Amino acid sequence: MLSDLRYRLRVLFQRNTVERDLEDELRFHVEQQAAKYITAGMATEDAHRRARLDLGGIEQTAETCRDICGTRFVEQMWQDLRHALRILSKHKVSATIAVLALALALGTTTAIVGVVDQILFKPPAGVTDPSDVLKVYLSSEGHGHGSFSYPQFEEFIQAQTAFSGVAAFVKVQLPVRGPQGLERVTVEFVTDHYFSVLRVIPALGRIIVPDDNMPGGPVVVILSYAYWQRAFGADPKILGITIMVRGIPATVIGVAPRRFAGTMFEFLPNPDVWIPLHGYATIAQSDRFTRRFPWVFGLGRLKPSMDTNAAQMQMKQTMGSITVLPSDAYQFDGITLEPLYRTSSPIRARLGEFFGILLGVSGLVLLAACFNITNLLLGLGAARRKEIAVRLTLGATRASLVRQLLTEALLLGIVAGLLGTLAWRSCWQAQPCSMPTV
Amino acid sequence: MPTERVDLPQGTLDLLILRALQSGPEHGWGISERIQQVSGAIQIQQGSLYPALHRLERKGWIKPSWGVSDNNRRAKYYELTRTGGKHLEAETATWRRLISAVDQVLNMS
Repeated sequence: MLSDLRYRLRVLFQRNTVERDLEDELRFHVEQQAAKYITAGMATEDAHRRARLDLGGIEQTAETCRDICGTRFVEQMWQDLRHALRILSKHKVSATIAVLALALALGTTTAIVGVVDQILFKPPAGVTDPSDVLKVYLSSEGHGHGSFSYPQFEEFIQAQTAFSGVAAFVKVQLPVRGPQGLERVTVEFVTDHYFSVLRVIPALGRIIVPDDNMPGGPVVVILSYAYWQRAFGADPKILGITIMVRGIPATVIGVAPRRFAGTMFEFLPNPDVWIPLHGYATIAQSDRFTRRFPWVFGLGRLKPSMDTNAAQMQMKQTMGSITVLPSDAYQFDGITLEPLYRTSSPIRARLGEFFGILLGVSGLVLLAACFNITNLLLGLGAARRKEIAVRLTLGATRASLVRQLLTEALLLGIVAGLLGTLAWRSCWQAQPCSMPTV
Repeated sequence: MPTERVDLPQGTLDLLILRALQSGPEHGWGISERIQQVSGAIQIQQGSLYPALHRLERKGWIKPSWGVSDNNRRAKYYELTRTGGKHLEAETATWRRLISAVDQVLNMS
């Protein structure tokens, strides 16, 4: 097999040499045979002719060899390609319009599909096995995505049986003094097991553990990768540095992996730092922990034996164990579980509609471009009737003509595809999106 | 020397080429000559010689190299490779088995 591969590669890249060698070899044979005849007494010309006949004709034998060598296929491909280029350059204007139309259509469709995938379907970056993680909300008629109060969450932790680990979080904006001075930063306060439930692997340092979440204890902080780059210039000696969060010193213990931005992308921008939940009391100088005020969102990783449906059933039982009632303004009667997509249900539905329409439109654009190209090719075909008739009379097979035409179409398609994708990429770079990480 | 020409059964051309090369490297015309010198009854279809040589080269059983012939011309020489030699042995054994088996059937009374 290796020798066959080497043979084919040689044929592919050194076609001229291979051709020349073949001719040399056969010519040598004819000369030797002719020499033999001449020695036997034949006239020179007759000898040569006889020798060629014996071989069966140099060109014929060469053709048979080429079939075996597989040079023929490559040759044909090159011929088809060159011919296609010649023909298309004769109709530059129509060809360019058709290619541009197709490129536009392909570019936009790719772009939209890419964005939809990122927003609707891709799970948040940095989370290991995200399909096992579910968002947990308290729900009621008309409000499906409610947060827990802290006492409620504590009861939830005790009562639930569907998750191997649960955590809670909340996003807040606070002033932070870093090396670049004071800026408004998004802080995500998280419970002990947030990072271990999500199985986030830090880029630097360590994750928050239960010991960091002691009420009244020193405040630690994990930086997001983007914030670390932006405010600290990706300083490798960041661990142990202190930043001031609303006047309270917090020690940096780690950096989140690149592109990790938590699990909730609504309401506030992506978190720049993560701080243990009890730090909230110290920093915000308010104790929400005993009050009935709903403020934290939950998430949990399913036990290996559980799936979403089973877990949802379990939640009915768990519900019964949550006795702490919130303020009257907010009643709840159930627990909702949701997979970890980047957007939550109500937004997803509306986004879904929007993107559906967008995709429909780009589909139409694609269709229009296809019509355009078809017209071009049909027009070319009509103009080339004479050429095709001549080739058929000269002995070209229908298969070779079809192959030729297909090559032209393929060439147009490939060029359009490349143009479209390149154009989209450069547009994308120029206009950074505020959506998390593309 | 008998002048009756015998048609080669399919696939034996490869075998003969490999055997001809066992005694040393040779170019295409030389191979044809070598075989015919040994048994004049075999007329190798020269048109099928070179395709066969290229096929064997692709399979890796013979290895080409360019050299100078007896009369100072540039010629493509082939030599047997190790795998080619092994294949030759195997095929020769098969051939002999086939011949004796056919013989047996033909000799039955």
